[in-house]
Amino acid sequence: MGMILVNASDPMHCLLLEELGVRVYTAEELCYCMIRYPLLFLDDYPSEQVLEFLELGAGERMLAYQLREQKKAGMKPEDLILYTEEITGYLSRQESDQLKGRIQALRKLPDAEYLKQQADLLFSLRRYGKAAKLYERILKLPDGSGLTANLKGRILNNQGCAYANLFMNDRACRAFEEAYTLLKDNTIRKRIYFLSLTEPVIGLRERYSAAAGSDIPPEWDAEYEEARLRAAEGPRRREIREIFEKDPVRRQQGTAELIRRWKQDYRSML
Amino acid sequence: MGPRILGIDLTDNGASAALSDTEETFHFPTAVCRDRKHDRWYIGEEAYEQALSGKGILTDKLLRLAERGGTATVRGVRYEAKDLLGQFAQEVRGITVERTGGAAPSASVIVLEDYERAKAAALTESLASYGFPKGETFVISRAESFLYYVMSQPREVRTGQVGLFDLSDQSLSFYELRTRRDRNRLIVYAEQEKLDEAFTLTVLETESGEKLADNIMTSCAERLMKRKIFSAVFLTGKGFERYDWADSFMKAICQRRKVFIDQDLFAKGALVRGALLSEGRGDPGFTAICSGRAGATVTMNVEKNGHSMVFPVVTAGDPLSGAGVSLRLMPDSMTELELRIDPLNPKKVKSVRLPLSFLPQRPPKASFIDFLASFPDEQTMQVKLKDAGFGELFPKTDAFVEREVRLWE
Repeated sequence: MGMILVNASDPMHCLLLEELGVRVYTAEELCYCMIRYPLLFLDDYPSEQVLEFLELGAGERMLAYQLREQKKAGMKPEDLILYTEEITGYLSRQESDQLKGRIQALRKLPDAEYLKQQADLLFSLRRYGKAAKLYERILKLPDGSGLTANLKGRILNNQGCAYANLFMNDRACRAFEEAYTLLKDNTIRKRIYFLSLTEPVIGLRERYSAAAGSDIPPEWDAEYEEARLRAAEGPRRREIREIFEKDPVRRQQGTAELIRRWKQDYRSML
Repeated sequence: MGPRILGIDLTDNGASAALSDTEETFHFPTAVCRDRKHDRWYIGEEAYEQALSGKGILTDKLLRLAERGGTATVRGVRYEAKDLLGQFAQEVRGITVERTGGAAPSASVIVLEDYERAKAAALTESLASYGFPKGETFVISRAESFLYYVMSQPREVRTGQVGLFDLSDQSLSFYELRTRRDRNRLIVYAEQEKLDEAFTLTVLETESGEKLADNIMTSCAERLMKRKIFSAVFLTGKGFERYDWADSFMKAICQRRKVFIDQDLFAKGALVRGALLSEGRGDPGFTAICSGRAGATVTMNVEKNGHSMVFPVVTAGDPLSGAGVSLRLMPDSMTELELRIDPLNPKKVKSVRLPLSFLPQRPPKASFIDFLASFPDEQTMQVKLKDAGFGELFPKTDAFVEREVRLWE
């Protein structure tokens, strides 16, 4: 393959990929996202939004029509993903076979493991709220879904991490406690301990501390201190310092912009 | 009967105009004069007369003045030179139509001696407000006009190369036309060479001056036509209004070939070209390569919906006025972009490779490139590759690579 000629696109009809927090404007961008994150598309590809985007935004009217017809005929999302990659010429035959293999491997996973991979992906994309909900859904799966005690423990641990990132320390602590009961992993206990160190509310702090146990190894404190120092010297802290070094007007503008970004960032995490 | 075409050969000194359905031609010095009292414009000789009698204010050398973006103040009003040139062209058109009778022309072809794409575009733009609508007005080079003029002549005139001497005041040019067959297609090349031996025509007023001019022209002819087979030579320009001064020059060029004198050659060539353009007959049966036309076919291999195809960036003989490409590409695993340049000669086909190393490090198939190609003249292609990012996933940067490519030597 060589140089691919890209269709002219209409930015008025772009596609918002909420989980990735980006808009795509061309069929090539959509193909890239599907290859990189197939788990985000395997459930309902192509959605009506995707079809509208292909038709009006990406200049792939014929492809949109074919996908719509094939979906009506009951073709599976994975086959439609591969069809899209093939028709747009984004993947070579060899690359398409590789993607097919990856998708088949995902499809062979038990329900619980498959959903965990989806939730882990959302977590890695900083979509903590959606990840936590999906972990919750996995925990409620009926027997026979492949939810072993070990897997349950790992899911609870990840759910705890998702809550902690959302500053929902109480829920995080409860998830960690349950995970520790199942896995008996000291790393989880360490996480509970760190929660106690960051929790500002008196009472809760003591509760978390009690949950972490009394035999706290001294290296955990050192690790916490190291992480704290690292954060204090990190780029975000530097950015704040730079804003406060500016004159009052620019400082106000800078802080307003920073808070707007934080809020947006937090909203996207939910 | 075909559409009525107006052909104007426009120079800084004068314009000659012809209409396609009459034999008559008209000549005007490139000058305008506005009446001091009335809103009336005069052009050409009449403009000089009015100015000499003090009835108006004269502005001449309009083409160069317009190219320089100059201005002229007439009766307290500051005119831009391009508007005065438009006024001049409008009057030329009006007088030509009025004197020949009949309907207004449906298309106009203007011939420029020093054709440049930007200059032609600016002229088309400024004439649009003076009765020369954009879709019906075409600007071509003198070489192109000469080419079409010769190709409209009987076949025996062009069995070999065809030459043209254009002699006017302080200007001497030699045009050469040659043909070649490539894959059953006739290719016609016309080139202009400006000669340093140009002289002022006032030398022809004395006997010694005539001898000097004859010597100059003879040595030019011998040098330019040496070891080449010319089947015909044309002479044009004010210098050849009489040719009794050029005995030895005429002897030199009249050997085993036909010689023609035509003072309106460029205006007539414009009419031939105009007939093809206005009737939509884009293909005259040959490929014309000359000033104002792309000198080579440039292609690149691309993939579209999984299929390979050859994308034409420009086709040899395409008018430069419409040439130029802007498109978006996505490199797969390539490290360079290859352009194939075919100057319609299999021995001279070449490849130009543009490295893609200017692109920032990104995952494979996650970069767009904006490909821009423009053609400032028939020999040059300017190519620019710009990093266009990959949507919101990878924002674009200012990285680019630019290359000027010579299409033919």
